[in-house]
Amino acid sequence: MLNFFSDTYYLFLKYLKLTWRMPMWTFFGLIQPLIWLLIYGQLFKGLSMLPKFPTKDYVQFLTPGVIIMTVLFGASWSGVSLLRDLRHGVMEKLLVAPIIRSSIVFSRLLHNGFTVVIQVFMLVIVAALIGAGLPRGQGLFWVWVIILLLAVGFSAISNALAMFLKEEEPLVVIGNMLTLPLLFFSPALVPADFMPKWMQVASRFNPVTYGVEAVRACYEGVFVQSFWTSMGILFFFAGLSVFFAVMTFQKAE
Amino acid sequence: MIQIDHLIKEFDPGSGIRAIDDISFNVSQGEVFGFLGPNGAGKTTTIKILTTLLQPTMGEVTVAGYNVTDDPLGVRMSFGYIGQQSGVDPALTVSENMMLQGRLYHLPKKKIEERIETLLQLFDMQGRGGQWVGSLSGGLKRRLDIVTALIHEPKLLILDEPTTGLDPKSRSDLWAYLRRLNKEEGMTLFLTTHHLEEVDQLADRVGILDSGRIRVIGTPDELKDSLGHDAIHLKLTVAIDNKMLSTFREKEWFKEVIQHGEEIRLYLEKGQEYLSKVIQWLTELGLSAKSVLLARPTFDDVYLKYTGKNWLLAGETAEDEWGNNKWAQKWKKKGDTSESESGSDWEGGGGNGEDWKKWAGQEDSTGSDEQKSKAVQTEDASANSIQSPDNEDQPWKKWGDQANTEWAASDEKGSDQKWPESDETSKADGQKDKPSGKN
Repeated sequence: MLNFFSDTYYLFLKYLKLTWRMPMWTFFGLIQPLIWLLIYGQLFKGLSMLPKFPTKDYVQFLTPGVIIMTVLFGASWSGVSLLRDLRHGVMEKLLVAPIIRSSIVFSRLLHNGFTVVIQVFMLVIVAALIGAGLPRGQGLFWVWVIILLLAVGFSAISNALAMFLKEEEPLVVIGNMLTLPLLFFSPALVPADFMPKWMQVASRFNPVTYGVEAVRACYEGVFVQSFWTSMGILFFFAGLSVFFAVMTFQKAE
Repeated sequence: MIQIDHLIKEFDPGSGIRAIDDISFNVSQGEVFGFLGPNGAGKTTTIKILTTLLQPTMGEVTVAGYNVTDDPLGVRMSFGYIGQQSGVDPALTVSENMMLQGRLYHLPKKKIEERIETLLQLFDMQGRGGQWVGSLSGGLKRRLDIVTALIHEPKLLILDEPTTGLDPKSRSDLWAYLRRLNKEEGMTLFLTTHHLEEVDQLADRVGILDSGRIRVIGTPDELKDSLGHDAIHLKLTVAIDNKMLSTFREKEWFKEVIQHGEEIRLYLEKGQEYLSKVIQWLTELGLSAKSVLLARPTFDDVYLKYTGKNWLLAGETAEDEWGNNKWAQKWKKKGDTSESESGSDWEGGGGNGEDWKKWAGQEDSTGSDEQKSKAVQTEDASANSIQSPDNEDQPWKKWGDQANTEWAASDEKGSDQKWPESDETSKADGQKDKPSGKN
């Protein structure tokens, strides 16, 4: 057990070092969410004038959606860096070392969660500057938990897929194929009431939906039953994905 | 140091397709053991089993006293591993890589720092600790691979094609370091390669692996001497038929006769003395030679004898640009992907094959029934095979070089410029791509 923590720690440190040496990638990851927030937010400004729209300003509504989008985009590419390790033989070297295999997974997920948290932190500041406000009360704490859970969940899936596919092209294609639909089948861009019935139903099976709703609750400062349900589902989702990823690595040759 | 006892590996249990087909051998402490074979022979599979990345289907494998199935962690602590790819992170410095490696082997910081210093000195890399790995040359990077693999003071070093992709100078440098490691530190080395020169230079003993079986084990000299002192390479103006070939085989002068493409190699003692007699004899037979070459047998010849393949062609062409891409392999014709089917086309050494049994151990090189049936099954690929007298009447023999060459030439391009003998290159390629009969 002690070895598990030390292995995870030293590998996490290594990945952190890599990110630290190439910090521009962290910023590049922010460019797209910022475009959505600033340009898409302006483009659909008029949406908030519709009857029954929950917020006065569309940017206020959009910010939680873009936060979750950042998580989704950031996490779904984390498998690509695993392929880099595979290609350089780094992974092979790790697999023959006397380490606990799951520490490879955990260090990668922790590192990915960490980078995403930094990205979201910067995004929250920009959003606050253009009038989206800040999370309220205990929301200031929970928002990071939500982001970490979703980031860990999605990067676990991405890593497991990478380990399974072992090729960059199919991984990128699948990543592309999944991220946008996941976003559209969630109340990230428009309120759930505005969606056709069948999309509303489909969105209930999407972890992104619960992430968006939970972050929105943090911004509103309202922590009722539905918030805790969302948290429960996010925990379950993260746990399941991590389990899936660990299993893939245990079997890796 | 390594004991392998009747190891069998089937990737698809129950399918009967064996990537490793009942191999047994031991490597003792302080020995350098070279495993030689073309791609797809099962070298990497053996290494993966030794390094606990794969489980044996059957058989016992022990590394440094630990059983790979029962105590994989014990095994992992006891060897250093150098894979085909580099394995060090290019975005870290030399010492960062070594520090991380030490941490993963759970050594205390102080100890790692000491090891880094000792090892860098041993491999003439002093002062490079702070250098980025990305800025190192290929040879230095390879040296760093070895250095990191040694951080936890293993007694055994497992190297999977360590010098692939290195220039000749870096290659011989690396050999010197490995030799020194073996001589001065008593390190046991287990290496796979498809460079004959490498085993010749380094190995105390060599195992030739082909299609998942060990064809022969012996010291490099033993293997070379078995062919006789000299070799005569003949290129004749006309193609040799089987009848003529057996005439050659029956001639008492020759210890061994191997046909490879349009060339015939005759192995004998006292080649100089017999050279003129041989030429005279050719005239008597009504043959004339395009070229005659008298040479000392090399490992190339040994390899040809045991695998029926020209090592250059067998080793290099198997690794085309799609070689390691499993998605591309799925698109290939069925029967081409499995390791065990990729090149079993040789049967029997002919000549005085009896001598070989004692080196080959459990392996009967003159063609057991099982081998024969295997050869029949892969008949399409057998055009390149060595034909020996004891299977004269096999139906697959009628597969001529001609047909195969035509087929291959129409399907293979690009590889021809690699080797001067483009004709033979295409044949070796064709062999790989042709659908085998075992579907």
